[in-house]
Amino acid sequence: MALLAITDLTKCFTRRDKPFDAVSHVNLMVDAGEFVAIVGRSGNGKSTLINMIAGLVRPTSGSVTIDGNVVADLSDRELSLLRNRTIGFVTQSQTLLSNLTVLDNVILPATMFPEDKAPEPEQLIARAENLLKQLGVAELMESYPRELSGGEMRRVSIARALMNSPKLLIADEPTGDLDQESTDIVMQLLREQADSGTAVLMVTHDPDALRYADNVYRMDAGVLTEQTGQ
Amino acid sequence: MTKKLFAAVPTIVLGALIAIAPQTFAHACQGHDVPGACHYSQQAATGIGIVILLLGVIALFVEAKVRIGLNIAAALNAILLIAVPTVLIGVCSGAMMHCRAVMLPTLIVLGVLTIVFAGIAVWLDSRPAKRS
Amino acid sequence: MLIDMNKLPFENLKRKPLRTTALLAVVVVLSLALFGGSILATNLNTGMASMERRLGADLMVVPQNTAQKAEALLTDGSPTTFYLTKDVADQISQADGVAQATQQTYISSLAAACCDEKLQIIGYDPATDFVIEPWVAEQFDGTLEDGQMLAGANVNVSADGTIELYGRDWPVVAQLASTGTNLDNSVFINQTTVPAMVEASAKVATQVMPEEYAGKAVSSVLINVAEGYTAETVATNIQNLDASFKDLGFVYPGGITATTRTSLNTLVAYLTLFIAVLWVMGAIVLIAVFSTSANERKREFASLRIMGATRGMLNTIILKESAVIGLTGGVLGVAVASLVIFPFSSLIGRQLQLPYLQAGPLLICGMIVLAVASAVVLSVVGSLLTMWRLGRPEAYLTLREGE
Repeated sequence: MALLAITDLTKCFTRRDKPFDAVSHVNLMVDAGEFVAIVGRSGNGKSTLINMIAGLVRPTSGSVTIDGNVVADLSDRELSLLRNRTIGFVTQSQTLLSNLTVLDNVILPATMFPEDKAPEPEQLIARAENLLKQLGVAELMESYPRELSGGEMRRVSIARALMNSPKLLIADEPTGDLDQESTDIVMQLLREQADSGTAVLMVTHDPDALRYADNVYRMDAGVLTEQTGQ
Repeated sequence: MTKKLFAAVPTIVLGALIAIAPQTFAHACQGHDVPGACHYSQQAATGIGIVILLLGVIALFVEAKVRIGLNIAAALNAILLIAVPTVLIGVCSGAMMHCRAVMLPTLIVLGVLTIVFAGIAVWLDSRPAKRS
Repeated sequence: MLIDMNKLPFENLKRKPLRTTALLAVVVVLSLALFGGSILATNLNTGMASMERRLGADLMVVPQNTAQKAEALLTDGSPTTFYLTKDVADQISQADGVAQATQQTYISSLAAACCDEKLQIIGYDPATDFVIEPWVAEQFDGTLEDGQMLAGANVNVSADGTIELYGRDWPVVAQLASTGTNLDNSVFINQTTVPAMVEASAKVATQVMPEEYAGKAVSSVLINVAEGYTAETVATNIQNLDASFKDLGFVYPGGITATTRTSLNTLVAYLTLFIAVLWVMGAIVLIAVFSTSANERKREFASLRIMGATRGMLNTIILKESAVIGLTGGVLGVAVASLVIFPFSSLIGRQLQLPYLQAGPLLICGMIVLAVASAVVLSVVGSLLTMWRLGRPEAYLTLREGE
């Protein structure tokens, strides 16, 4: 069974008393090790789709299954644990915690559920440092997010998303604020994740990023279609 | 800069108050010829107050490490200040006398405040500038 | 030292020093007011209760024009001397409706040596007394011999157990517990010691009263009325004994305590109102600050949610932050209030002009706990609204489409 299975997923919003489908009857399968990209103009429901996958937004109809769990059936705690352990989420907007240093921001997801398998603090620090190094922001470890540029913050959030070695990595415009060189670093890293068995789902409108993906879909007015000729 | 001000200004202000208070509003009993315990406590407190004041002034011109020492000294002086009217010299035993009802508590309160502010200053100055 | 959800609230407070300080300041003021106010009210009530116990007579007969002085003597006035003669006093004791009568003599001492203040010397008659003995009995279990003294709580007794008065050292057999009234500044002597005291005063200073009165001077007759009589009717009976008794002063201790009780209740009522208004305002400020920050922090909580924090974890963060502020502020407030209220206790008592007696340590501990707990509860309650707002799922929609 696919790691991520989306069946007939719909989200209906009401705008000026008129209902409309932000996401309309979407079906999608992503296997472990597969790198899927979704392109489309903003306002076409890409972020709503991603938020539904992560269980942050409740779908109007349809279902999302991640690693065998039906997201809608999970309790708050089970869903939180799924987000923490199974999903890595790189958001489009800046979501680092402003009160923590870069290093602490990356480590926090690993210490959030201390009851199961608690690795040594040194191991966690080493892992976080290693991730930051791979993303080229190791020298910013002791800085606070407000001292960082947009691109640097984006790379830190990617490191945070990878901290718990997720099975499913969701990235919303991961290269949005990045220059060419950083884009290459980030995309190479995402590709490596996919190659080592992680399912990667990326939303982007950066054509340079698309060539790293295995499959490309297009989202238009809430409808998802597979893009051919890739 | 903020640290320096925090390490010096409260000490200066409190030192000045300790020196001035016993000579003004928190004076010793008046109107008798032979000076008593209150009078000597009053004089001693003023002296200690001046020392604390000077420690604060010096703290304005020195580096953090020296400031720590100066504030420890200020705190110890404050303990001495509290000891003067309570243990070392004492005050009149008439509970309603001005020197006991006003001077003694004033000196104790000022002494405690000096210790608290000196403690905070020591803590601030001994903290590393950047977190490790 | 590794960051986790337990340490996050502290980091949040540390990294927002302005907001933390502002919240702390509000809580400190509230806890200070609550603790200071309740200590004040309790001490006043303790003082009042003690005063009521000490003024154990229904009626006090004093010489003409001295009723006010006599009242002041019982509450907060300065030492005085006044007297009538013993034969008058004996006649008064015989009046109809008198169940118990005892005579007292009041003499005001001079401030002699340094650090001595004027003392009220009270001569009483152990044989007939019913006012002082019951109180004295708590500390002193013997008879007061001629020349001996009992000292009030505030009286300066020297190390060898004597008081120097009029150039003579008077042995003190016991020092009495504090009452919060003027009696604390008094010394008590046997009435037969009064002539010796007058004689001593003649040697060193202005004589307190003419020699010929020394043996027969009585300042007041304290009366307990018999069943079925009121203090007022007994006063009338006394006035009817002799034409010259019309001018005598009559003091009704029950009336004094009632008046004092009224002004004390007024003060406590104002105090309560003031603290209540302060707390309501403080609660509004806290809720306002907490809920403004809730808006600012939506993004922060959304990202915690994305990382996998449960709703319970988010609530715990808010709860911990507000509890830490409440606890710290509460403790600081109590500390600051204590720094003023305990050392300056006697000054406060003097300024209030009301009986003021420090409450016991157990009661104080109770009030400390109450003040700190109230601060914590208020600050936690203030954050409940925030918790509710962040608990709604809609809060996470802010992450939609880069809004």
